[in-house]
Amino acid sequence: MSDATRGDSADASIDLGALGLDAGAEVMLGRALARCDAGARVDVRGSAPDLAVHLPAWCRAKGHAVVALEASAGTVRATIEVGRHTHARAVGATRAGRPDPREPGAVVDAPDPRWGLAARGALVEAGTSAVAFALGKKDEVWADEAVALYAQATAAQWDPDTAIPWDAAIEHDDVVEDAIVQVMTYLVENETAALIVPARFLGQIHPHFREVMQLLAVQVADEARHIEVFTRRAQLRRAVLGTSSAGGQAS
Amino acid sequence: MPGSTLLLGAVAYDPKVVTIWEGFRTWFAAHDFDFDVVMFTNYERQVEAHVQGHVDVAWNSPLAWLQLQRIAERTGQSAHAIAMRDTDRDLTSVFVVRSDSDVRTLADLRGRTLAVGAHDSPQATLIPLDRVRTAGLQPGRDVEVRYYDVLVGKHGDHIGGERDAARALAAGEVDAACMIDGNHLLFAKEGVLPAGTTRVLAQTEPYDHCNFSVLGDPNREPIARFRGLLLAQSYEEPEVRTLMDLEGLREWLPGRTEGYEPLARAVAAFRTIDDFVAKVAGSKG
Repeated sequence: MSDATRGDSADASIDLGALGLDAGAEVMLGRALARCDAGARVDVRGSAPDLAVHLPAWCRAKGHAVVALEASAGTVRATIEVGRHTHARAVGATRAGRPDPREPGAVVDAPDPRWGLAARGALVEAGTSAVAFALGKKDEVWADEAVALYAQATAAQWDPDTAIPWDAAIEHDDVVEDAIVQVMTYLVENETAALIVPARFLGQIHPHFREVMQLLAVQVADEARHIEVFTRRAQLRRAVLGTSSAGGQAS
Repeated sequence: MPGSTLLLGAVAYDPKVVTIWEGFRTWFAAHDFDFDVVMFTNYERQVEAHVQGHVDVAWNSPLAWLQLQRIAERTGQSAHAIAMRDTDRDLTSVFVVRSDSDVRTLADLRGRTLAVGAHDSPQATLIPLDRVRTAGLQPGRDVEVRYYDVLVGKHGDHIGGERDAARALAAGEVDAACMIDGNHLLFAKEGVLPAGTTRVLAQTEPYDHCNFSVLGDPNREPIARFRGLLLAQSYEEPEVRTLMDLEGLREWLPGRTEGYEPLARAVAAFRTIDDFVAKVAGSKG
């Protein structure tokens, strides 16, 4: 099948071959029409079984007009006029900064709440709803070092299963083991706090500051690993953990 | 008409209907137009309320339009379709069979089973069954008709019955199923009728769908202003685009009535709205 090319009197033409609109031809057709100006005429040809039914239905839903259609010997030939509103979504769209933070002006001082979850550097359509981010100003959140810190964090990931010799012999007596379990219990609580604190910031940061958001996310994942490791050590010889004190929690 | 607020009647066939009309209310208010919506769970009550004067304009299904038009004729009033969506024009319905079916024409449906939507669905039941009738087969006698009566009263707006009819076809429970042309494509994408497993057996002639209906002079205020504002809405406006995407259109067009002939023939042949029209026209007095 061929892509959109200039036809005789049409502005473009596309041959869908035997691919039906219900099997992916919609993607080809949509792409071909999106490259044309509103009002352009596009010749469409195809031999998929129900194309003569699907093509007008698809055009009606998308706002394009079928100005001619003939079906014979299993082949459909149609002319579509590209709808007037085909490029409406581009009207009022704004670029949400630039993806590379080293580019001047890439990370803006006050990202628009209506950029929402859009990636930094994306073209955001007009009409999106504002998403509330309590932490949405560059001077509150950003540090240029976040980029390098995140790279460092992802490079230094370790596997608890292989990094710690879980099979190492335990030869000390019960009193010492109980003390170790108590230390593990306190550490789990510590690491839980260390997970929750960045996690509570995480959802509040405007995604425009993605490297800071990413760094905190890796921090949270790190703390999860610490919780896992300390709990596992505590359970090597005991079925329950130690004490969580009111004073410890308050601290 | 209470004060100068224009009251629109709309049937809430889906929760998004609330979102849509609340959104349009905000838009109309921003254009200094006093507008409110009354929502109904079914078209019959909306038509009755319209005739009683409780709403000024009704966002009507094609069947509700015909009900209103017939009642208006009987009570010495005029009914007008003042606007509609671009997507309300020139729809067709299709009869669908499994790809390996030996049914090749509508006539081959003799003695077979045909799945349709809800009893009151113009697109998935009434118009296709009339097509069967004009092909020389009496629905119910020459062809077994299996109705998928989901949310009767909503005139097939939510397409639930249509989808169930398609599922029955895919499951081998019926020989053919009726649906709007665009839904054959939609159901393929949804996996209800995977691509290549069915084919279109026949297609109806084109027909029109919903319209904004009024009784009496369509050029009186505030109806004329409502129509003017509606037709001036632009898909290029972001707030309008969101609402239009929910409502399923790219632009509003002037109303027209010539596209209701296929449905009018169907309701005349099957006499489906006679009792309701007589009841409401009689009570209007």
